[in-house]
Amino acid sequence: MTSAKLFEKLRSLTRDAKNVDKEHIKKLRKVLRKLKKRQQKLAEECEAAANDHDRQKIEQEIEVLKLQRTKGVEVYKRLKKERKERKERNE
Amino acid sequence: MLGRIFLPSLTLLLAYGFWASTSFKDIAAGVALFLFGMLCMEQGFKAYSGGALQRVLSASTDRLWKSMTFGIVTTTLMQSSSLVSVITISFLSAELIGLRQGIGIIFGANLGTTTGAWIVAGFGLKVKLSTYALPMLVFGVLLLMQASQKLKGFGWILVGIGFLFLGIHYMKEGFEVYSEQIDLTQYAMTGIAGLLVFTVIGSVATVIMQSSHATLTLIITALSVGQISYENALALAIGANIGTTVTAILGAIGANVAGKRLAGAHLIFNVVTGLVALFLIQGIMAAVDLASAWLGIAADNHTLKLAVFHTLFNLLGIVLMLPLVNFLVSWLERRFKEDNTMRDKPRFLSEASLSLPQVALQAVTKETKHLFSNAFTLIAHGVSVRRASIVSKDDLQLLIDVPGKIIELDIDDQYERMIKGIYSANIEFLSRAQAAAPHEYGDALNALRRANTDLVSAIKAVKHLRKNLLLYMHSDNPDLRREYNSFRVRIAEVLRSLAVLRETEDTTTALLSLDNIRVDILDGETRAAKSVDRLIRDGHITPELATSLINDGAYVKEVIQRLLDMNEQLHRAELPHGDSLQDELALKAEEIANIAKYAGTVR
Repeated sequence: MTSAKLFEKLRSLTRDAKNVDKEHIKKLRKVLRKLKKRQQKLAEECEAAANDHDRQKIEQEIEVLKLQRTKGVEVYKRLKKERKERKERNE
Repeated sequence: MLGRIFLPSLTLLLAYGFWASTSFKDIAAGVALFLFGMLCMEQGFKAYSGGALQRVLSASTDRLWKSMTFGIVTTTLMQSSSLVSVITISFLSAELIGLRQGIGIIFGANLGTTTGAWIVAGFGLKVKLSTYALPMLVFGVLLLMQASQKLKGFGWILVGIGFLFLGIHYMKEGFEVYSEQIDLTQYAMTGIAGLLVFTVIGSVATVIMQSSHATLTLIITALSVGQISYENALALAIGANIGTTVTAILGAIGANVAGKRLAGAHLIFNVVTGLVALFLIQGIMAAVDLASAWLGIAADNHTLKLAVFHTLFNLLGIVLMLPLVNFLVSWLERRFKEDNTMRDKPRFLSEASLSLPQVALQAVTKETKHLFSNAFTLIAHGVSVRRASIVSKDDLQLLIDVPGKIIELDIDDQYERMIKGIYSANIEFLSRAQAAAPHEYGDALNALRRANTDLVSAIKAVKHLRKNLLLYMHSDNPDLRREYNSFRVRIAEVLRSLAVLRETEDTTTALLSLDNIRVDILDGETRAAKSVDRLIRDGHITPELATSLINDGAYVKEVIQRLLDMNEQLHRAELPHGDSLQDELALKAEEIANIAKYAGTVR
């Protein structure tokens, strides 16, 4: 690795780490809200489904959304924890 | 041919001039430095013309007056109407703005470019510019060595201004010495003949230098030392305005319809303005005298009066043309039509956008979507399903029992007409954009390249599948018929899901929605495999038909997988650089398999 690349890498690691995290968390929350909204809408549609085939398809999508949201919440918790630790270290 | 004659002639002429006169050498060097300065400035402004410029543009071009103001301000800042024209053509080609807005920008740019004359006449001639030029060059080069693209861009701008100043300095020096040796005013012409001859000279000079700004600077410096008469200088300025459209016309030759329309508008505006100025020259000169007196410009200050004239006659052009904009738009749209009769062509790609990475990325993303739209129809018809049925709410499962008529289609011919031209243009554009764009655009451009190749692979797989599909979708064997029609339904359902996905505005949620489609696909594949096993086991189909079914099942899998990959890559290209949120939330292969397995057991 050339020195220029090394400096760039170091800069990118240290540069605005706080802001990058903040943006990431903000975006994650937005996506999680959207997924939740979609799941709620699908749950309503599931109750009104015309046949078994449609209902099963909706249930399957709900399963996908549930799993994605679980992962999202885990990522959210991890990011929050890392942010807190970094704050404590700086203090 | 023209280039082969023109370039050697010009070179010889210049060489003779250099040999005959030192001051001619100074003037020519001044022009060369000035033009090089403009190139440097253009290079610098390109560093700022990505996202930021686009944001400003979209916020400031929804009304005609706003787009005109945008044209005036950007041209004043960049001091290059040709760069503004290039950016406008690229935005117009990528459909980021409409033709009306594009015309507004061009009108504004024509007025904005007149500030150049004010700067040179009001400031450039009074101050020893070379004093400022040298430090600017030093600081500029220092900034050019920095890693940051923005700093580098600023460096180019400083170097550009430095060379512009040096150029003006050399032109001024050259004309000053020249005036001591030869009196060019003896060639001055009066009356209509003088007006026409000097208009033609101004046009030709601008065509040669490809810059009205450079011509005007040359006129002002010559005028400042009394080497040309005031009246002839005015005619030269009119000529420069007409000559500058040649640059736009040359640029439009290789451009798409949008570029041609804008160049047409540019040509009409400048020619009409020039003709009006020629007809009303006495009236405009009187107006210039009045305006100059009002502004406190001395009656014999011809250089500043030339700047007033330049602004006034361009303003007159805008006042005349503004009420005709709507008519101009509809006329240009009628005159330059998209050629839809034979082959579909790229709509959003333009040579101009290649130099602006953000615009190039958006243009090729739109073109890939255009390709997808064509491929959507071709794939749907390839499996004998109407596009309308897919995008409607029709129950696709019904196709299994009621297959409908075969859609006659020469898939190779349709590929040539609807796909190949756009696909080839996209791949060429992507290669050139990748070579020109900074590294942060690399991932997005690579993703788009993969999206394009995936789409074409999907079409090729449909072509292989179609042979047996048409043969067996109406087969007497109900089991075989059912299996082949299930293939059609599976592909049609994926196309429908992807059509719905295209409506999703948020890229991350769109990418996450692909997980659900993946579950569907896996479920479909598992059921199809089980069904074939059952048919073989129960002896409902011969082993030969079974192998055909298995092979064609593989083609179906290929079509679906490629379509899915294509959409994933297309969405990834739209993500901001370094965004990895969807990767953290997306399901892994085994998680998709688990949900599909569960779905399979309950169905």
